[in-house]
Amino acid sequence: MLSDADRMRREQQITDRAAQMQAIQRGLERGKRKRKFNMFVMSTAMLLTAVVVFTSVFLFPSLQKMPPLASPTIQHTDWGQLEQFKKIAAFDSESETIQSAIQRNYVQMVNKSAEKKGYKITVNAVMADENKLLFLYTATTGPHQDNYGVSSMRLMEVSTGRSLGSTSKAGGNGTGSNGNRVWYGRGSLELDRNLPFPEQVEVDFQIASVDTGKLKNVRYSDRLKVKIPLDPKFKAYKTQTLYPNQSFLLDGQKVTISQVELSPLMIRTKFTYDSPKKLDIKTRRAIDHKLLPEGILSQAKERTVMLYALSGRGTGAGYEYIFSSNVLDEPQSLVMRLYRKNHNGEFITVNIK
Amino acid sequence: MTITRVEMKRVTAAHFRDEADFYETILVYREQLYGIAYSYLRNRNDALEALQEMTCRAWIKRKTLKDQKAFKSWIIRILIYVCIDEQRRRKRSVLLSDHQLEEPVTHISHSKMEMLSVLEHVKPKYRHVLLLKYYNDMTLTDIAKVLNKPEGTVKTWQHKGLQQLRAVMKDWGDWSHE
Repeated sequence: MLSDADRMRREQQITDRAAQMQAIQRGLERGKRKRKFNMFVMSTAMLLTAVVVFTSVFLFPSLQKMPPLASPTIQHTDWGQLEQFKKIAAFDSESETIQSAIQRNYVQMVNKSAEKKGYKITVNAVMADENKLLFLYTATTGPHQDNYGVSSMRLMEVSTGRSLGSTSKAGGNGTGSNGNRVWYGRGSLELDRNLPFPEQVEVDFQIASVDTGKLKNVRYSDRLKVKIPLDPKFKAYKTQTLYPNQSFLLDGQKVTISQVELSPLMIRTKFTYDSPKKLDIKTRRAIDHKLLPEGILSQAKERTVMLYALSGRGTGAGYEYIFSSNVLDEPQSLVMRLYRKNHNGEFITVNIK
Repeated sequence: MTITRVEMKRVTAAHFRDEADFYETILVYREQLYGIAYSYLRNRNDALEALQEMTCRAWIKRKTLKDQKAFKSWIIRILIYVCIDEQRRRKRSVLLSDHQLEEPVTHISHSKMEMLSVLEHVKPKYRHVLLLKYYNDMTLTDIAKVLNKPEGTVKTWQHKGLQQLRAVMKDWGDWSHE
């Protein structure tokens, strides 16, 4: 057991703090939304006027306080049939990627559904490049049930039966066209571009629901599967690789941004440490811990946006971070901003393009 | 439960004035929380999901926490419940089809798989103590606070858990040599 525990700790060392921070942030956003929903359900028992006062006093200000990750321009852009998904953009760090893809018509509309025992999932749209797949989907539940979320979403390549893994997710409840409650979700998954690009994928969902108006009795749907042939245009765009070789010091340790990979849905940056093999584990972990990017400031013709870090992991030579992308907007400059730990308000900025 | 002065200041600062306070306080314990979720679920994505779900539940129920100094034990307790829910969901999940079995979603080493199966056979309340103590380096005092039980009880559960673990491992050893 002790050796198993030790192995588990080693596995954890390569785990990305950005993903953990995002998980906490998403949980908080979900909590805020659910709390608002519970408050709304309670208030239906009151008089209509009381409801109006209640929502205007409590609900609206809390919406105003939500820290928006998406830039305000997203709210003023027409997302066409995907307009309802802007609800996720308010707190989803993938929002700039989706905005850029929609604006450049780099989206495949799908609108395919699967339904079992009152639970229904619809894949509305998909975006892909050789490094990543990104889905927008909606979920509904049967009578007397509220969406609690999509508890699992995994992908398989149809022709080979190869599992592509589970997705990262973001989502929240909204109101559908006929007034029913609908879960609007986004799932994304990294692809290995050394393997053939999948021609057709099967997305396998499981929806979680709770009794209407309660946070009790979580129930799960059967697995709901939707097959999607991917538009060949997605494999046409090849990853562009830059070698900035820009270095900076983190508390005396030299760190170099050695490689940047650019594709429509993802920017991957590789950091290398000075003589990584000579570093003891304690020093190595200290550098990993201090290397914390805020994001990449991307300046394109039309606007400047911040592309946030989505995940990160340790590598043999150092560390790599994955960011959202607006590469389709053809940015003229990309500047990375890293937090300088223990130096309030100061950033390290590095030009990577 | 050990708590630094900075953490104490954050936690006792007037019932989380806003979500930023709440978010920052959870961030303080981020690594430990992730470690606990990982020890229960042994899968990166599921551990991150559990972290997300715990934050969601904790935010909704934050006003039910009477003693702010117990915040850390409280969120760990929520996280354990989330992990238990996920483990139950896994048991209910439909078996994978043959072609999926040929390409497992995650590659788990034989010894890790063996240990996971052995721990599955230990009584749940004992398993909590073993996971928190041996996989997450928590003290018995801290575990007692999380599980809301006297320290003596937790100590007993630890010993009984180890006894069960040894018995199960012995059975496994006998079986594998047949």
